[in-house]
Amino acid sequence: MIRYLLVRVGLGVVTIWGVVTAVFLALHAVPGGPAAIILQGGAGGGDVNPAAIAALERELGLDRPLLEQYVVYLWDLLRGDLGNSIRYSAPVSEVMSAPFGNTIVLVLIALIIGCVVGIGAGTVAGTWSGSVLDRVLSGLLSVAVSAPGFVIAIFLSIFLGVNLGWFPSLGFTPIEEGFGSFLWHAFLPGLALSFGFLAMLGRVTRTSVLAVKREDWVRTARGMGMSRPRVFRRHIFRNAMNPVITVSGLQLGTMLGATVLVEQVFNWPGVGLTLLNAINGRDYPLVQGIVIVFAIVFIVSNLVVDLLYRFLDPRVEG
Amino acid sequence: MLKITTPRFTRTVALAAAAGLVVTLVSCAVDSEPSGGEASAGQTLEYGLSAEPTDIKTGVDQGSAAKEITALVRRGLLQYGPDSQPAPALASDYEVSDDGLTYTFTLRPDLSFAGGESLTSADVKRTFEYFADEENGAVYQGEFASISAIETPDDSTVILTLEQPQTAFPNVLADPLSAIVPEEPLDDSGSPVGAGPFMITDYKKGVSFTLEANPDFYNADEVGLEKIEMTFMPDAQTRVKALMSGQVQFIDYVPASDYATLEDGSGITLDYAPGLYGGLLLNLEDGPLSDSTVRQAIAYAVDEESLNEVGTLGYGTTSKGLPIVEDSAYYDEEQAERLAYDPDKARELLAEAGYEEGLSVDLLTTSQYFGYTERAQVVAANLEDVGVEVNIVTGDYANLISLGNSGSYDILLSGPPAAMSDPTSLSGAFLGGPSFVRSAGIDQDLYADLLEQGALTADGPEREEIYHEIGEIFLEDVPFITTGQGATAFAYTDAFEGFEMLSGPLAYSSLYSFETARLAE
Repeated sequence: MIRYLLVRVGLGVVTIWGVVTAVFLALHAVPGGPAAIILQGGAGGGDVNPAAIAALERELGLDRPLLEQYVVYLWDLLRGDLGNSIRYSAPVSEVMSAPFGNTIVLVLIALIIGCVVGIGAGTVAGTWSGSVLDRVLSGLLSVAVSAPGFVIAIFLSIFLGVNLGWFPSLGFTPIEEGFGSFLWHAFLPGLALSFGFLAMLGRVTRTSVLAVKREDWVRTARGMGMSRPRVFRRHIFRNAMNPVITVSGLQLGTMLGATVLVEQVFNWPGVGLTLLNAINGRDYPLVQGIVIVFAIVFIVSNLVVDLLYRFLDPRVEG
Repeated sequence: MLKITTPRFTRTVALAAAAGLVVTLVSCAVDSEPSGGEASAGQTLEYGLSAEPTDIKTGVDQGSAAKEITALVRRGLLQYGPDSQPAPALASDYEVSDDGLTYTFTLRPDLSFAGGESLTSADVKRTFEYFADEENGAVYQGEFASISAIETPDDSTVILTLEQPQTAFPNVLADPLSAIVPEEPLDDSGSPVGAGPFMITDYKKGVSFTLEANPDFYNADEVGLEKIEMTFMPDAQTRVKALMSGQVQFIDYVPASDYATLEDGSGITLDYAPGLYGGLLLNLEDGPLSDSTVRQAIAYAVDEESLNEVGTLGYGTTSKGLPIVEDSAYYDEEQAERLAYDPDKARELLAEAGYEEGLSVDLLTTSQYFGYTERAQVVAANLEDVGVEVNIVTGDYANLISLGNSGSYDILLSGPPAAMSDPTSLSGAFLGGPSFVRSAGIDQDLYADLLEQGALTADGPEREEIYHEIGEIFLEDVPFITTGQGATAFAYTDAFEGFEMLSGPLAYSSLYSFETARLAE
């Protein structure tokens, strides 16, 4: 077990290094640098003396050779220093922390809604497969999985937010100013974020329940006189959950990506919106910092899912 | 026995959590503030700002949002009045010598920056010397560098001696970017500090600025608003939605596509005016456009009416002359129409230049803001109509800036810069190296002397003649193509009174009028 963990962690570190390098190269390959954007890049702005741009680049260390910048960045990274955000002139870790907190809330809401509704719908559809209920639920799940995330987000924002007024269609109040108001603003974006996840979970659950339902030992249990609910609880549900857990782990990564669009629609100051603005502003350290955290989240969640899988299913080698 | 791994336990926990969440949300929905409606208690204005102006560099033109904030928290010697003319600000009065070379400013008594630090002539001198340094990137670096001497005989008097008379010098001083700053222009959280009617009291990165009335402002008694909450809303649709639903009471940078919705909205005022010139920058150094006949052809081929429709939904203007605002005395209507849309003439000129078989060009634009790709498609269609094959190159705004600054394009969809309404700012469109707001490879000799003369000649027929002549050269040389002024707009609740919108290059200086604006009770 220990050896397994060490190997996984080692692979994780290599993956992160690969991601950092790929992002570094991509950012520097694209035209445009942060100095010009800071000085000229506000909409409606414009003319700046090239001497000023050159001076700012020197100040930011961007005139040094690319290899040197890369090595310096890696060296700082090894010592736990993510560098300073160019736009905000503050440490990246500091700039990222509040947005990450805000996004985690959305992800938690999405996970809860996704699990409850997705697994619930999938279980019902699988248990009563072939019925009208099953067809309706499966149809809805198909729609939810096919509709692009931002379309759902815009639709929710306009319909539930502007038209019905049940929730605010955008905006954000910081937690310090009221947990209730904070959650109320977080609900719609969280809901929008949950759709893809919910749909995926629902479909996988349904298929899994269908497959397990047909197993011999389920028939045997019924044959032995066990009541349907008991058969379901003890035999069907627990076994059906294995593939669901695996899928959930993979979906978390996709969900992080979806935050970029959802947060923009709702103007929610989370890590997706921060990343988007950082890319537009060519804020290299901030982009890299966020991507590293994404990579770590992805690697850790996959590791947790794998461990959970082994724990839940003793047949898998531990 | 309750085992933690049983499905029953997991399900129960999940259901309980979901139920708890729903209850919390419902109870919060019940006792939360209603989203629609009137101003919050007192004079607090909720403002949806189009960008987050981080990293404000003193004197640099960093775009509309930065200029708006500067007009709220800083003041210079002069400011713009509602009539778009320079008016007193920190300086209560000034005199100009007969030869136009010496300006004597009298500062108001007991001036101070927000926080109490006193503001004297020494601060004016330090600020102007900072602007004059090339490496600081100030938009008026050239104008400040041509001040040969700054004397400060006492704390309240500043005497500026210019190398040459600058007719638009008061306009330069009235620009928010020429505001006087303290030794530490930014506070600990990186927010700008100054001597304006408001001060930034809170900055939540990525979220908002909170501004409060500055008690040390020289005109503090007249300031109506107590607080301004500026929430960053870079997405235009978000801003419009926020205003319509009452979550904010004022928004800037309204895209033309939303004018109609806002005009029809009840309780909402839409203030729009002609804005900066839009147009096409050209590469005169390399490629087919280095031939002026080809450039003229392209000018005739472009349909300015369609561009106006598509880019500003008809709210802008059409004009293909020098980028001078239409309400200026120096605007020449005949010149503006000389290159009017004429595809036949375009084909004729292309044949004359040896391109009857057609040619191919790269058109650089961006997809990040409204109006750019739409206009690029119109231009591409216009050019294809006369035999020019167009390859549209797009990317984000940073991409446009970078490729534009290095002259890596044939045609760039952008407009000439204009810092102020006076024709002095034409020099920014012609002189200097390539930049994403200025064509690459302009022949400076054709324009430099005349532009300089225009800047130092006083208003009158002699000055009009100079700009007329520049216009004639421009229409032959066509170093860039103008298509007309765009449209700029602000929108706000009817309850907000006292906002005076300025037009053209001064649009974002309109925030000066926040000094005395207020929300109706």
